[in-house]
Amino acid sequence: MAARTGNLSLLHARSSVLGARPDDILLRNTARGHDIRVHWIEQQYLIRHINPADVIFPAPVETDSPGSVNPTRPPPPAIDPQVGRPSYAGSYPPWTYFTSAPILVLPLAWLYPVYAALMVLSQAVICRSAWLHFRRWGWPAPIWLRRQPQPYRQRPQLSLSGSTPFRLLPSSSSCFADYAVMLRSARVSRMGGARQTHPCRAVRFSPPQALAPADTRVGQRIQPPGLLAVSSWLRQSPIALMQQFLQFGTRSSISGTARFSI
Amino acid sequence: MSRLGLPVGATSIATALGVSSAAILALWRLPRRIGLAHMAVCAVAARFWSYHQHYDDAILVFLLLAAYETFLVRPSRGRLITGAAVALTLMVPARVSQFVAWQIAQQLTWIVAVSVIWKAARDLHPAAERAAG
Repeated sequence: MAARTGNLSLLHARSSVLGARPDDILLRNTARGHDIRVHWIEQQYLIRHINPADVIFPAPVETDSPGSVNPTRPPPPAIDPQVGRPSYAGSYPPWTYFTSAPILVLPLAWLYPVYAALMVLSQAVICRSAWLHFRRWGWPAPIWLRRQPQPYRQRPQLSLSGSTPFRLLPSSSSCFADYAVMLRSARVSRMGGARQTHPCRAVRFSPPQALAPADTRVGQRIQPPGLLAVSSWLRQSPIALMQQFLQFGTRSSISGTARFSI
Repeated sequence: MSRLGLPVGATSIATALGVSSAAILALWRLPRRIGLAHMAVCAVAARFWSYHQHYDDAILVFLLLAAYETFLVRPSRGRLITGAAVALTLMVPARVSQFVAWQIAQQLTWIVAVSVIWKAARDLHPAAERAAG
């Protein structure tokens, strides 16, 4: 439900909000926050019962001779100095003048902060709904933490097959990926295992198990900052942690990819 | 499609009718319990049918979330590639989306992704459960 609310909010925020860059909204740079201003101008003319197309296209129509003025046609409405001249880039879909009306009736000075607040609110609702939905897997669920399909009534098995993303990532980034796996696993182990009902979370494993990476070569790339971060997270000695890690990592190597029955 | 030389009016009507019909049919065949798969179908249909620019692609965040969920529920290489492709189409700089070739690639990716998500959602729920709602 929250996600659907976010969906509607995002739809309502729509083009003008997301089309503007953050600095457009924050600095009120109307030259680049073009979409909001054009839409607002057209809405203001509609509120005054004026078709904005008549303002920017005052050319005569349906005359016998090209270029002559149709005397039966009323003169084009003047440009409202308080609103400005409509843009040729306007002419939004008809329904948007109804769906956006609650926002576009605001003064132009209010429009940008209101849109910015609406954008932030929409994104927050979407993020929260996504978190509520995905927390059963342990948010953020790393894609290299794969849950292996298990036969019925068997313990779930969690495979840290990190070698694939490690191969894809450059070596400098691999350390950060390793630390992400380690920190996330350490966090799960500190929580004592199962907290959620999803079988993926119905796991218990000790810190040495959690810290063992998928690829034993990762152990060669462990840097002191990451080790200190994990040790401080677990409140353990970095040296003892390293010993546990190397011991378990060496023992669990299965053709380059470690699998843990958790 | 209009940039490829097809008539604008006929293309718009055909797209609106075709996408709306396909979306209605897809939603009808999905389990009745509203989930991310429903939102993904609606997001893709809205992106194809209604007025949009590249900044409207934000609506496809629900397609991305559904692809992510599909992979988490039953991981496979194909689903991983699908999710990564959707993420790529949504994360490239907006200027890239001005190219027609990229737009075609984007739309094909979204169609394939929503098909994968739709099939995964149906596979997760047996026919009896779908009938019971």
